Formats: sequence, structure tokens, C-alpha cells
Amino acid sequence: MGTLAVELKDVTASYMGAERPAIHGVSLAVGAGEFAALVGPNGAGKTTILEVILGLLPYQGGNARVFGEEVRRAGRRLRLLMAYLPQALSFPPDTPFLARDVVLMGRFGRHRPWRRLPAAEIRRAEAALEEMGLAHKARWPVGHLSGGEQRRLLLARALAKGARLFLLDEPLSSLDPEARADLAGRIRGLRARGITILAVFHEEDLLDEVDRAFFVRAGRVRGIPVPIRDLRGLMAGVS
Amino acid sequence: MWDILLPSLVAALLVGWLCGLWGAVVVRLQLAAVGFAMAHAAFAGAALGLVLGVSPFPVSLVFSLFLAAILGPLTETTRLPAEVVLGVVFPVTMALGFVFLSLVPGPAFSSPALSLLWGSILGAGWKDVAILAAVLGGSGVFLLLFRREVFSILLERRLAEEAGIPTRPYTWAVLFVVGSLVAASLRLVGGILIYSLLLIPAAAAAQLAYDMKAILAIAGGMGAAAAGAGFLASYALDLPLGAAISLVGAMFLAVATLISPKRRRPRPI
Repeated sequence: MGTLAVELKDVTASYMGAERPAIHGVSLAVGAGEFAALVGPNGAGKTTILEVILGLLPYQGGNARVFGEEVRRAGRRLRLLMAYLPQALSFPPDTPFLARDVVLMGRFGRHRPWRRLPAAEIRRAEAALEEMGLAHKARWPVGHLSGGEQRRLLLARALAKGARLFLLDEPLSSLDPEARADLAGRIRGLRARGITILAVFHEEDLLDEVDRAFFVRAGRVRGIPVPIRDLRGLMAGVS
Repeated sequence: MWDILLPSLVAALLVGWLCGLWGAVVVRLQLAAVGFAMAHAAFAGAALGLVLGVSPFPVSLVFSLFLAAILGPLTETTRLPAEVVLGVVFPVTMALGFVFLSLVPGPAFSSPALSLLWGSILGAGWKDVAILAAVLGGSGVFLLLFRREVFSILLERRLAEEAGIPTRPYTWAVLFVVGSLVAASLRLVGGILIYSLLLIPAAAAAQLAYDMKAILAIAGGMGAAAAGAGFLASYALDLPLGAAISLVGAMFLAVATLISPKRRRPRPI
């Protein structure tokens, strides 16, 4: 493995008020440009691992690094290099923002609050929408997009953001087969751009892309990493 | 007569605008119940101000901000749902307010004391107008400067954090603004009308627009219009002021719902 995009060493993290850690002694590493999968039963701690990497959940033990920098120290700056597609995120119909605004918001953290947003940012957002096949819906209310379109919109936001590490939490869940195949194709397309992907999924659509997989159970990562040939059987067992 | 009525009318317009504008933010952040609790904490604080013989405004501001500060940790420590914590906090702050009122020198529940509950906008002077204008101006400048950060949080907190925006200080700033507007408006319109002015224009504006910028503009304008029209209706028809403003606001909401593009049936092809 060359340069590491993600490196967790013996990480333990708990949610506020919880009696037990959500993940305990988790170690894993993902190389830059790799496609890594987190698999395991519901409630095993997969989303928690993504939240630790993103710096949304502080870890109490061990060490988490992204692109060589410690998440605890450089969390906010590192977040500019990461994109997150949260699990089951769906914008309801009355969400008061347009699709293009959602994409633009991915870049807001890079600019001083009171400064005018450069025109280049708008062009960048429009190019990302075009790439994800959503240019014609740029001025639609985000809640009026279908489930598949909303996921594509978040990928467009991640592209416009210029993220180098995509953390995808069940990106294909609850989509019809057509939308799932379309989104899986677009996620595959990200690899050609050298983007590192760490994804949680239960579907088989992306299995052939996986370079490295980690099996999460009861807050621990077991067998690092899982041999790819065993992955299909392992996922079938989980589901 | 307009010497007396004019500052009251201007104060009503400013309260309506302020509550309408920030109500849209508060509703979107699902903090409307917090606004309600803050209004009653401000009531307790203002009552303490009367007991101590000091201006009620700073004391009510401190009380409402203190409440906003402890709500989060209280919910986390007790591990109770936020609505249960608010359900406990509301009667406690009301009880504190009544205890403080009973300690006010002079006749119990005198006119200034009761005005904290129901408001007395006809007692508004240019000093009240200046305070409201300062809160509206200050909070407007804040919203203008930090609109991108606030809008990101209004979309989705995790996505805002992912974009590198620290959500906690901005949420705190919004709570500070709500605390300030509650404290500035309490003596004039009372806690119950503040709640109604926070919610009704925001709900009506959400019926009419899909874009947050438009919702903020409509909610602010509608809050001011409801307060102004309610004020004039109260004067012309000799109605209680708070009730008139609430009813005009409810009428606006009913009309907005009826004409809402969101309720339009698709045309047959």
C-alpha cells in the first residue's frame, strides 16, 4: 500500500451518555486511491467509524489519521478534503433550498463568511451538476428530486467540493434497481479521478470494485482486511 | 393621540418583523419549542427585575440565554427527550415568574407585572423602539454576513460540519438572537404573542416559497404586516391587541395555505 488516506490505530469512541463504546480498538488502513468497504451487520459500528474519520465523533482512545494528519488536531481542515454521504439522508419536499445551492454549500467552509462567493464557485457547481446528469434540475427545490437524484446531487456536491476522500454510508440503499445501477456506475467512475472511497454497503453492485474490505462486528474490526474472494459470502451471511 | 400611538405602532411593526424573520430560522432549526421556553424564562427574569427594581430587559435576556445554555446539557444529562425537558422547564419558569411577581413591592400582580404576561404595547415609547431597532439591525447584519453558514446549518447539520462550518457557535448565535428578541419584545407583546409571531409568519411563508431567502423575506414582511394590521384592527374595533395580532396572523396563514403553489394539483395531460 502506498500513501495512506485513512489510518485508524486501536481507536475507541463512544457517543455521549452511552454505557459502552460504539467502537472499540478499531484498526484499519486505506491507501490513497483505493476503494475500501466496511461490511457487517446493522449496529456493528460502521457509521461510527465514518463519523470518527470525519471528525464528527471524538475518539477517546487510539489514533485516527487522514492523509497523514491527526483527525483530533486538524479535523475541520481535513474535512475540506473529505465528502460524506450520510446514511438514509433524504431531503423532504418542503426543504427550502434549491439543488444548486446544496452543491454550492459544500464549498462554503473554504471562504470567509462575509466575502462574496467567487463566480468560479458557481461554474464549478454547475459543472459538477452537469457531470452527475442534473444540470437541468439545478434550480429545482432539492426535496423535489427523486431518491436517486438526491444521492447524485450529494455526489455532485462532493465533486464540486474537490474532496479526495469520499465516505459513503449505504449510498445504494432504498433505491430501485435502475437508480441503484446508475449510481453504482457513477461511483465506479470516481475511481478514474484518483478519489479514495470508503463505503458502507450491503448490496453486491459495487463488490467488483472493492480493493480492500473490513468486517465490523460489535464495534470491532475483525480479520484485517477480509479477503475479497470471501466478501460475497460474508455479505450474504450478514444480510 | 398619535404621539402615543405612533411609537406603539412602530414597535408592533418591528416586533412582527423581528419575530417573523427569526421565526423562519427557528422553525427550520426545530427550535420553536425552545423559543417558547425562552419566552417564559424571560418572563421569570423580567419579574425578578421588577423585584430588584432594575430594568427588566437585561435580567430577562440573561434568564432566556441561561435557559438556552442549560437545555442541551440538561437533555444530555437526564437522557430525557427534549420535549419532556421543555415540558418541565416551562412550568418551572412560569412558577418562578409568579413567585417573583408575588415579591414585587406594591399591590400583587400590578399592571407592570401583568404586562409581562400579556404585554402592553400601548405603553411602548421611543426607547423601546430604539431597542427593537437595534436588535433587528444587529441580527439583520449578522444574518447578512453569515448567511452562508446559517443556511448550511438550516439544510443539514452534518453536511454543514462536513463542509467545514462549525455548527455549534452559529447555533449559539441564533439562540442569542432569539433570546435578545424575546427579551426586547416581552414587555410589549407578552410571551404568548411572541410564540405566535415566531410560528405563524414562518408557517405562512413556508407555504408560499421554496427558497430560504424568499421565506425569510416573506416571513419578516408578513410578521410586520400581521402586527401592523392587528394593531390598527384593535384600535378601530376596540379588540384586545394581542388577540387581534394573533387572529390577523392566523388569517394570513389560512390565505397562504389556500393559495400555496405547494397545494396546487397537477394539471391533467
